[in-house]
Amino acid sequence: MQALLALVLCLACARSSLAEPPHSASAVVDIIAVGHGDSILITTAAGKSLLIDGGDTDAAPAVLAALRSRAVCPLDMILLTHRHKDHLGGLRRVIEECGARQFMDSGFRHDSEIYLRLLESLEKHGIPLRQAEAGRQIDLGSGAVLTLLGPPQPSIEAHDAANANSVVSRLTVEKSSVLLVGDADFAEEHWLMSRGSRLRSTVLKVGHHGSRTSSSSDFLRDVAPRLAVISNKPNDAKHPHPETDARLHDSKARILETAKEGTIHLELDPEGVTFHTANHPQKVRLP
Amino acid sequence: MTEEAVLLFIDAIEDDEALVLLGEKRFGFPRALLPASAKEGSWLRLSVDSAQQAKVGEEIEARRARLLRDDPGGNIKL
Repeated sequence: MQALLALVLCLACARSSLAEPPHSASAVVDIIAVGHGDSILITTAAGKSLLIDGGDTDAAPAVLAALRSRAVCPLDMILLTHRHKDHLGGLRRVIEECGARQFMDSGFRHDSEIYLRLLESLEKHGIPLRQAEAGRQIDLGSGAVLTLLGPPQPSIEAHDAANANSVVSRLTVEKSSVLLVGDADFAEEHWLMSRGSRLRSTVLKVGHHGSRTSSSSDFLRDVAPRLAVISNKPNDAKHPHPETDARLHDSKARILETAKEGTIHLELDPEGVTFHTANHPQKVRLP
Repeated sequence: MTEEAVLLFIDAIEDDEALVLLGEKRFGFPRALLPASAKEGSWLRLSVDSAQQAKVGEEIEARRARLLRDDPGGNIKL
């Protein structure tokens, strides 16, 4: 009887492992549901943490909840892609209530009071600033490396230049990669392509919440993502814009929106990416 | 827009919105942004405040310079 039971258990184990091969994540990327804005947490098996953007001011509770659920306070680093309020608004509370060891942003000027207050918090807590420059790399341990591909140098001049000078970065774990483009627009995408940046990535965090002026067809062809993630708010007819939505569908990428899925979790291992979402907790392996 | 300042006429105030005229075009304008003395029939002057921009900008650049003082540059290992 015992032998029969052992056999049944053994078969069950084998069936389970066939259905879902185990992949031990080297890095986890949480694309936090913050409404209209961006906030992305990277954690690694080595225990390192990096937060990219902090959503708008009213998103701070959601961001802090995500940080506490991963037990990452104080963060090893915060990276600000650009100084628009829907990316930096929540960061002051993150600094005050979670803390950080380093802060990185670009020198591209967009001189608002809210950014000034953020710098005051950094000084108050003795958090050093690091300059975001294309080519700089951040080693998060466990084989996870974040390489900065932007901001453009020299800066792109435009009326809405903060987006066009976003810090763009690419997270890699051997064969797995996530391209994080902030609010980069067509002009910055063109700059990235023209300088031969390594863009091909398993996952793309879609630029500027899926707005019409981001995610050109040429750019999507170069990135060739298998999954495209949009950070947007529910019931927002403009994000993704229908034209961008059509380009993303043409790219053949699977598309996920935080507006529909809640927070989206990516698990990167050396061989590939597995994802699940708050609303669909069943894990899916990208082909 | 080529003018240094834009003059807007407050045509009506309805609930939380002021309806302002620029020539013959009518725009909605949040009432909360109106100066306390503004009322229907008032004129608003919109212009870029270069002095404020310079003041905040200078303070930001000074703080960034202090905060960046110890940045060794190059790659970072967390």
